[in-house]
Amino acid sequence: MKTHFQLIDHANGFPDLAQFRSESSGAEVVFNGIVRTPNKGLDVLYLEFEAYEALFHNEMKRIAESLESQFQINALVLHHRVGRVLPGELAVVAVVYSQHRKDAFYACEALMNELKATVPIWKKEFNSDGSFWVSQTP
Amino acid sequence: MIKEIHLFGLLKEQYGDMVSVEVPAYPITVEEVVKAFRKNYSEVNDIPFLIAVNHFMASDKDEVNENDHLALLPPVSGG
Repeated sequence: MKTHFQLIDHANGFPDLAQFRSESSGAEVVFNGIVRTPNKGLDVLYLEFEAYEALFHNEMKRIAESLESQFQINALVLHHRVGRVLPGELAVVAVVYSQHRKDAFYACEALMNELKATVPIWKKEFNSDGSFWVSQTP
Repeated sequence: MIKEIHLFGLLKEQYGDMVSVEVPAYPITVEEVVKAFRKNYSEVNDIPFLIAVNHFMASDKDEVNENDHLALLPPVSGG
């Protein structure tokens, strides 16, 4: 299984996905996470993402190994923005390549669930009413 | 003995990139380091957090030695 995990510090920094495709992958499932406004009734001005890069890579490796034991995966890609991200911009791109679509769909959802549960990335929302750290887990 | 702890997210915003806490003689456990931190920084006692040792997630009973890199992680919110 090929993997590619990267923190991206500007809106146009997402790598071209074509490099991860292969003839053996009949399915490419892509999840694009986009900064949304409004959120809970307030206009979002931007999100500020912070990451702990060394742990990010170690956690992503652990997650990839776990997913590989559950699904047939040819390649796994996770690109996440850091710094200021505006509404309408991509915050995260998660991609799974598999022989068949079923594994690719399920693995991509599992990848996003794991990302939100354990990967050391934090976001602070700045909105029309002030700002707050978004708290998901633990 | 003094142990430096790296901070992230809201902890970093509140206390800076790094704090130092007094700990007993090495080796100590992750649990003891967290206890020492909470003793000095009781304002965040209601926040659950994880700890990383040498850039890997650690559990309460894991051992911490003098030269280990420690980081306190508030609740994550990627995606």
